[in-house]
Amino acid sequence: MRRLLIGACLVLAAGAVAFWVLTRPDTIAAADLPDHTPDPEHGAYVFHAAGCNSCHAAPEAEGEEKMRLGGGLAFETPFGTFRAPNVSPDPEHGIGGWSDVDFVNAVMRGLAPDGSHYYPAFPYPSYQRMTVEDVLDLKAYMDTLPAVAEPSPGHDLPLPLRVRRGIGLWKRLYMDYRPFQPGEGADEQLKRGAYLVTGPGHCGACHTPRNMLGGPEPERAYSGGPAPEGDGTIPNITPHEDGIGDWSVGDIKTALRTGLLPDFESFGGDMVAVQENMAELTEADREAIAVYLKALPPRPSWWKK
Amino acid sequence: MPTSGASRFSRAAALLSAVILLPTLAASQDKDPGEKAIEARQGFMQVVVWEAGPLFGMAKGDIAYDAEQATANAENLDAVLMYDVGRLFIEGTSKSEYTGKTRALAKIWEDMSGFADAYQELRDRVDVVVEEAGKGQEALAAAVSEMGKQGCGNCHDDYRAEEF
Repeated sequence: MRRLLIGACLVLAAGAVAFWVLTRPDTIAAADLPDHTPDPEHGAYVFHAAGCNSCHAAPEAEGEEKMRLGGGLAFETPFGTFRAPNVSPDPEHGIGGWSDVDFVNAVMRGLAPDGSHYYPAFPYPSYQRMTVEDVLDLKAYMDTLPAVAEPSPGHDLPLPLRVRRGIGLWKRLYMDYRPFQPGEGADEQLKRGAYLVTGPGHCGACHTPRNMLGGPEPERAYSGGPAPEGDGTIPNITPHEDGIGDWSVGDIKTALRTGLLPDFESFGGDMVAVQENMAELTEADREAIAVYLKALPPRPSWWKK
Repeated sequence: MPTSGASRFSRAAALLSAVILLPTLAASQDKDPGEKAIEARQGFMQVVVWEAGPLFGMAKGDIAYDAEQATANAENLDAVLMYDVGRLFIEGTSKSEYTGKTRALAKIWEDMSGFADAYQELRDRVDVVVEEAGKGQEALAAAVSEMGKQGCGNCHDDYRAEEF
C-alpha cells in the first residue's frame, strides 16, 4: 500500500515536471535582437499591414478614434469570450513601460513581459513570421499613439482555460518560431505577397478554419468556414470556384483599396476595418497580396457540401 | 417511312391530350402573390443596379469618370430609393418558403424595424453620393465605397443568404 502511494506520488510529480517543462515560455533574449534603428514611419506602414487597430481600437471607431488602442473587439469563440486588450502607450493600463524585447516577445512569441502566455486569439502564430525589424519599427510607431488610461476589458473563459500556463502546450503543437520562408523559385512579388498574407496580414487567423483545439487546419488553409460567432460564414479566399476563382488580380486589388467587390457587392462585418488598413498600403503591395492569393492551392468550401 | 395507322392514332391522341392539358399547364404558369412579390423585388434590384453599376465602375476605375453621368446616376438612384421597398417583402416570402427563388432570410420578418433602418441608412449614404458625384473621381470613389460598405452591405450581409 505504501509502495503504491509512493508510486502514485512519483507519477504525479513526473507529470507536473513534464507539464512545467513543456509549457515553459520560449523567450527571445534582448541580446538576440538585431542591431536596428527603429523607423516609426515604416512602423506606421507595418501597423496598417498588421491591422492592429482592427481589434485593439473600439469597434466602430472612426477617424482619430481608430488610433486609440484602448482595447476593443470581443471574440465570442467556442472556448469563451476573448477581448482585445489595451495596447496603447499608457504606462499603467497599456504597454507604455515595455522594452523593445518585451514587445518582440509579445508579438512574435505570444508572451507577456512576465513570461506568461497570451491566448492565441492574438494572432502571434502569424506574427512569428514577421521580421524582427518590422516589429521594432511597429513598436516605435505605436509609442507615438495616444495613451488610453483605461483598464483592458477582461476575457470570459471557463476555469480550465483561465490557467494560461497550459497555452504552452498549444504552442508546442502550433508554433514553430520559424521566420518567414519564401517558397522555392518564387519571384520577388510572390514572396512579398506571401510575407504580407502569412505574416503581418494574418489573413489565416480568420480565413483558415480551426480544429477543436483552436489550431489551424493546414489542409483547409484559407478556405473559410462558418463564423465562430453568429450564423454568418467567413469567405473562402482560395482561387477555387467556391472562393475567388473568378476574381482577377485587379478585382482583388480594387476590393482591398475600395471595399467594392465584383458584382456590386462590398466588404462587410470585420472585413471593413481590415480593408481600411489595406487601403493604406501601396498599390504594389496590394498587387503582391492579390498575386499570392491567386497562387494558393484552390480548395472547395468544405462546409457547404 | 410510311406512317402506320397506329402511329397516326397515337399522334392524334398526343395532340388531343396536349390540347386538354394546355389550360392546366397555363394555370400552373400563373404565379402566386409570393412569387410575384419576389419577382418585383428582383426587378427593383435590377433598376438599382442599373443606376448604381456605373457608379461602382467609376469608383473602381473600371470605367472613365464623367461628372455629368455620375451625377445623373446618383440622382436617379436616389429617386429609385424613394420607393418603400418594405412593401415588396410580404409575409411568407423568405428563402424558407421559396427555396431556390429568393435569398431573403426569414430574419427580415423577425426584425422588420432593423431592416427598415438598414434601408434608411442606404438612403443617407446615397445622399452623400449625390453630393460628391460631381466633385471628381476621388470624391465619388470615397462616397461610393462608404455607400457599398455601410449601405448596400447592411442588408446584404445580415438579411440575405449566400445562396438561393
